[in-house]
Amino acid sequence: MAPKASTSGGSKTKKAAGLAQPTLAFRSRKPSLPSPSKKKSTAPSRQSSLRQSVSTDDIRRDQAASEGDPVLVTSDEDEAVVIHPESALKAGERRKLDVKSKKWDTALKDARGAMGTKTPIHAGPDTHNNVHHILRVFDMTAKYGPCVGITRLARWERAQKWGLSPPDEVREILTTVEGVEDVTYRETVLHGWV
Amino acid sequence: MVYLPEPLPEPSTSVLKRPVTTYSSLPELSKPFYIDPAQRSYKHQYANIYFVRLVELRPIVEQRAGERWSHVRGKPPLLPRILNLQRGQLCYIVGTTYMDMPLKPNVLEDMARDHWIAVPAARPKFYSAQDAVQLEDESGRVRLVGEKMKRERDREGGGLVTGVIMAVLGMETSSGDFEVIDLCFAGLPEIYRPPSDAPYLNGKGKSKAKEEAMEVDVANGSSEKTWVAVVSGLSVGAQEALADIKVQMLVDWLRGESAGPSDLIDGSRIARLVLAGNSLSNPVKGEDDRQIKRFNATSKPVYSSHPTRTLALVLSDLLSSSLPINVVPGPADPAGATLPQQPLPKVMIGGKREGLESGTNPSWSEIGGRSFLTTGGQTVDDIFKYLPSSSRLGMARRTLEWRHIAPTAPDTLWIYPFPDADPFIIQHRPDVYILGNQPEYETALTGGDEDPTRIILVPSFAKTGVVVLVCLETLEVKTVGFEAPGWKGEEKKEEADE
Repeated sequence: MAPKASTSGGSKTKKAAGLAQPTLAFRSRKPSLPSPSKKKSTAPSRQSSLRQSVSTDDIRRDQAASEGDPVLVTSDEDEAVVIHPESALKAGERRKLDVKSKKWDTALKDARGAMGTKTPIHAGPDTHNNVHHILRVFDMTAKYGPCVGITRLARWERAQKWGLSPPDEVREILTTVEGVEDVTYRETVLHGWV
Repeated sequence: MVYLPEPLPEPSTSVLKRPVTTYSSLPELSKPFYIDPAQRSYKHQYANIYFVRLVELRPIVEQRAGERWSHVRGKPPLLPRILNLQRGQLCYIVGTTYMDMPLKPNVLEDMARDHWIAVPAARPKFYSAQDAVQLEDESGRVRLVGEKMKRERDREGGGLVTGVIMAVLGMETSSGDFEVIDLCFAGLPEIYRPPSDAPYLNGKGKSKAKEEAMEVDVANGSSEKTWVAVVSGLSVGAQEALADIKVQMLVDWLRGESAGPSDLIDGSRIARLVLAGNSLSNPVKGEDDRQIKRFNATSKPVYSSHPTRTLALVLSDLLSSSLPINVVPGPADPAGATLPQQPLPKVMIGGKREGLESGTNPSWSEIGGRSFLTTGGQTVDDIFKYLPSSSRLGMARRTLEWRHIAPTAPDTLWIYPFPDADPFIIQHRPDVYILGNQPEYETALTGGDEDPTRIILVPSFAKTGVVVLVCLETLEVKTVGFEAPGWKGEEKKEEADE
């Protein structure tokens, strides 16, 4: 909501000068539970799409959500969340990445199968967890196209557009909070080197 | 008795009207060539373009190769990766060609060269006996050897350039090279047919009255042919008076103002003019034009804008006689050095006017139901440098066979680094394929009798004075030549007929 124009000159000039204290945005939404509320949390993300990579997610999620899922519940949440400041990314809108989740087991097995017995270079236990491994093997798979100069999510979308059927788990990882904000997840392993 | 001379023949009272044809800029085919200036980025790598080319053309080549070699004894399989080759196994592989040419200008060699060795003169062709052909896909590359490769290179109308997607049948030799028995390319695509429900754009503001006029025209002369004039290398703006005289003669002929009723009839059947590249040229600066460079605020810019003004005048003359014009940029036009060249801004050639279309290079358009693919000719010029053959018409036909307008594109031809598409792939071939700015006029029909494609190589108008006319109904071609006699004192030229 835009701040209303106030007649009190003092606070207005303070705000204009940037000296007013920033207000706290109380996050009233509790962290979302897995599975049933995952669909809930995706619908409000339609409203605030900040980055371009996010907008394609949301369209896809809309489609996923609209395919015979309980949409009635989500639409209520929609209306409640329609107006909120663009600057705050609510925590519940993107899933948090759970590195130890069982969801990534098949992807991890495929990745380990592709890599063989080799361990990746410069990959210590504190910088390279299972999710990093899955994403790194996704980068190095030549089947999905060159990986240099493009973010992982953009590469996934591009491979999807070309009909190369990239794995869905990778996209799930890349659209979580950490997947967007953390450089080691978002950018390819060669980012900064090439 | 006053001797009355023969009465002059009565001029026909019918007003000659220019035929009106449908026009469409074929947005679904032209859109990939437009680069959005807001999202333009030169940070992408060219590997993306090669990858897309392989992904899009590989299924087509695989299918064609499968059909072609299905009856070969031994049932050679298609290998999914080039590195899966095994010694002595007959198989076929698909990949992108890479020509390893030692004479090709190499920036690393230029840098390593010592300072006091003179740079060798620019060669017109870069092929040599030490050229090697390699086939590459995502996994790796293999060198292709064998008699078949030599014969392909020396064949008239044959040869290979970097960037062509092809399939080769053969087996691996003991030295690790691949001995080739047969080659297969993507082949000529189907002719382009617009979707039946596509709305035909009749040009902006064409009123009902004109449509009726077209119907009347057709009813009057059902045997009348509608022609499209193609000119390349108009080169307006050079200070050579001779070129401007030829341009004026062309304008007069197109407007129907030249002498003689036969010229009138020819000129009036032209429905559209396509300027295929090099409409502008650099103005020649004379000795007395040189100004002393001053770096203060009052110094005027040194460039002269009269080429664009002259071109704007020429175009407005033609447009005022209701001749719609398509302008396609060429190598000498100020439209950017990388392909696809973006359209010349209309404000530069006289402003937004009805009937003036500014296209990209290359550009698709549909005139009177026939699809036209117009290029400025840089693509074939580049291919010409790397093939021993001297037949440019053969090379133009090969680009249709390879299904790619500019296979040498990121390698030796400047191209915008597309991050996720290769717009030069030809999915369907056009009815008329125009290449501008070629040394001489050549034309051929290709693609069978039912739906042929007319390939036209248009020479530079400033040098040769040739205008090519294409008939929309029958795809026949004829040329009209303009020549102006030299000035007194220059060597005498024969005055040629118009």
